[in-house]
Amino acid sequence: MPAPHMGQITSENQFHLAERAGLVSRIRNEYEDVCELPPALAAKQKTAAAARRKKPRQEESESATAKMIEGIPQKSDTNEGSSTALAVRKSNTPFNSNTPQKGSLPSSSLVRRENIHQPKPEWHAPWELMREVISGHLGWVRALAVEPNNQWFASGAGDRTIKIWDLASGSLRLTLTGHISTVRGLAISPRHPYLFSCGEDKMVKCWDLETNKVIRHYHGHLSGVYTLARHPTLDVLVTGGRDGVARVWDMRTRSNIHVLSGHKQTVSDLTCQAGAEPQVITSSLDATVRLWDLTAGKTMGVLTHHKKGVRALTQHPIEWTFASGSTGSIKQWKCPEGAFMQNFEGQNAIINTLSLNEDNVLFSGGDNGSMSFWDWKTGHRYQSLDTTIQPGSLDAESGIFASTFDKTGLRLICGEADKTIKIWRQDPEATPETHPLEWKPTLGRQRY
Amino acid sequence: MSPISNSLAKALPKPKYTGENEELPSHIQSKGPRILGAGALDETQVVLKRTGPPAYGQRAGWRPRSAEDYGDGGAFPEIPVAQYPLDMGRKSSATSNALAVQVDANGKVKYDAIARQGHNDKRIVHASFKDLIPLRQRSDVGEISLNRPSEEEVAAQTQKTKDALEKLVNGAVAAQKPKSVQGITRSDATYVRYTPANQMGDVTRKNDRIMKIMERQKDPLEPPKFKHKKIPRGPPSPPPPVMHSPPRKLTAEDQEAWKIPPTVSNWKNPKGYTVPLDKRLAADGRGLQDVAINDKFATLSESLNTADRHARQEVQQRAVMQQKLAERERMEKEDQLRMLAQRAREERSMAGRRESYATSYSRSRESFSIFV
Repeated sequence: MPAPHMGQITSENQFHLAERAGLVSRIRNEYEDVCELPPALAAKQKTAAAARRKKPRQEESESATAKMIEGIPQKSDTNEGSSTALAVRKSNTPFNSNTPQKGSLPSSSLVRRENIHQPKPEWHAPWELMREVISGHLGWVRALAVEPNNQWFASGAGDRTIKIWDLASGSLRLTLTGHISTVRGLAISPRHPYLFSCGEDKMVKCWDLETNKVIRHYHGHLSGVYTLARHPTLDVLVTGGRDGVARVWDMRTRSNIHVLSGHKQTVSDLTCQAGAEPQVITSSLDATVRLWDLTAGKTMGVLTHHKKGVRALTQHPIEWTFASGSTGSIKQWKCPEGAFMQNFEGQNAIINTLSLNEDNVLFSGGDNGSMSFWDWKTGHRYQSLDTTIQPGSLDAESGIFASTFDKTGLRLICGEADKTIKIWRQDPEATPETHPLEWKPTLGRQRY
Repeated sequence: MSPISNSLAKALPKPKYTGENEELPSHIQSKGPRILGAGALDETQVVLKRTGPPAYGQRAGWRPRSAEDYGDGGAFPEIPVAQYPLDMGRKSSATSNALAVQVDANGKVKYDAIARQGHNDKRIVHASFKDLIPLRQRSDVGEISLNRPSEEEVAAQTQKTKDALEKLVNGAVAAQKPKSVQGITRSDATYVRYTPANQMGDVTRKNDRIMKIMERQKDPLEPPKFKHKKIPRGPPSPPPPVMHSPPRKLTAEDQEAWKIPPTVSNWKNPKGYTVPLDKRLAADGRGLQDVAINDKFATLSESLNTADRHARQEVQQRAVMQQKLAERERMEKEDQLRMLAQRAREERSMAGRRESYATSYSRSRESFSIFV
């Protein structure tokens, strides 16, 4: 209530003020709930009032009080932000007609409505298989990595070789032999002429791409090494494997800086990011994702939302978010604190691999050969298909083990169980008219 | 009483000291309730439970032991023992490890304190239901920023990490170097000039002495004096709260689907079990594969059949045609013959008309024609 100027107070004015204060307090205390008509009734009354407008007013004596009531200032709502509700809902419509809320009428609709605003997903062109299917490996293709200049990519397979392919033509450039078991992870450094590889033979190798020879071994894993990532800015390599630990290696001295232990089962995938913690994120078959503080070598947090082993992990190239995939569920997380952002629902398969490009397309490849393309922002699946296995393979050999977008994000490279590498691209002729977005906002209650 | 002891008692003088009204020394006095045997208890004896301290003046040798001994009062200053009336000041022997209840700003109990126990405050612990709700639908988060940290922050953190890792690497590298083996290198000796001070009031001048201080030589091959002992592990940190629903129960059909029959070999049975015939057949694997015949076999035989039929038809048609041709040829020949005969007959008839002048010739001609 605005305070009047002290100098202007006269006795008559004081009386008036006191009366007004009394009225204000009374109205606030007693008529707060009925101060405003519910929107439905208000609309009805407005139409009625329009019809009655012609009638002259008689109540002149009441006008002073009425004026006073009109002049009551709006109460500033102080506890606006401190709602205890967990989920955001539009305030003027009740979400549940069984519980009448203060200030809102029980809705007349019979159906309980979910009022969470669902954003419309972005349109992406559908993906199609490019002409060439590279079938040069003699085993499952389990690891893929694209060179920073986007000229070639490397693939590691169950035939114990690493092959380097031309990205444009798909021709074989080089075959590196040296692993004595399946090659499970590859990484190419943009700052050194190095290729890092790890395999089920417990070995982590550093290849010099100028001489095409192994120049370093990182010895220490007690069992097969399943995944590897290099730090974007530091000369540090992180590997994880079946012994349930992630090891941080110094590239040059080959010394094991940290042993990130805490997982109870195989570390299936890991990613590294520069800058703020967590700099290392690992996923494991014990159904947890761990965020690591690389400086201290300690766990920062554990995400236990998944129900089954998490096999895939990927990071957004621009946003500070990441995704993790386990059997039948892909989840998106916000980075520094690992806050759960959303689910990608629909692919009921063991998710072996996830890839994400800058155009907010998330690709997930399943163990049964199912592929799904998702809109990253909304979690909408805009395309789902199965791979075509190369002729001569069994039905059981349709499965996607590794995938990566190239550096431009316009080509998707998939390593598969039918021993081929397939390259996908977006349909160049597709437009939103030819391939309209199939999206309906869901009406049902969402389960979390 | 026996008569001997009676007479003895009479003969002897009455004892001066009976010991009846003497107080027992304090260490013999019974402290708690008296314990009486079953025979000692009779109607005349009434045992009263005594609570509270004995009356003032009767406390020699008495010590308060239980909380009851204090009555409602405090400690007895005249009794020189440690006293804890109402257990005040007594140190509890077992410290409880129960967590104190903590509340947040709204006065709600912070249950995640259990999950945070033993971790530092930077630890990320998701423990409440709201952590299961997608971030954009949560009411308490407000604006969400998905930006990566700024350049300066990244640079600072990178430098920090680099320093920390470098330290570790240097430590690891130094440990591998042979320099760290003890006893190989000896630091240089240091020389100290020592001037004795006044000792015990002796103020006479004394000579300076120069001392050489050097490290005692160590045997580099000496086995370590102290055995490295493994320290038992500390208690583990609390497990992270599980943020998903419990797994579904296995249904009957699921169980059925996971039932894998034991392997039965037709060639090996080292323990000599009797294997039922149906198990053997099931293990045989012959019935499991359904024979798949390529469609092309059917099309091949079909096309062979049609080709065969086609060929047969053609042959038949050709035969019919040939028959017809032969027939026609025969007919033609017959016709020709018939024509010849007719012509001959006509000629003969012509000759009959000319018989008037050449009968003999025509007869001979007819007979000739017949034989031709």
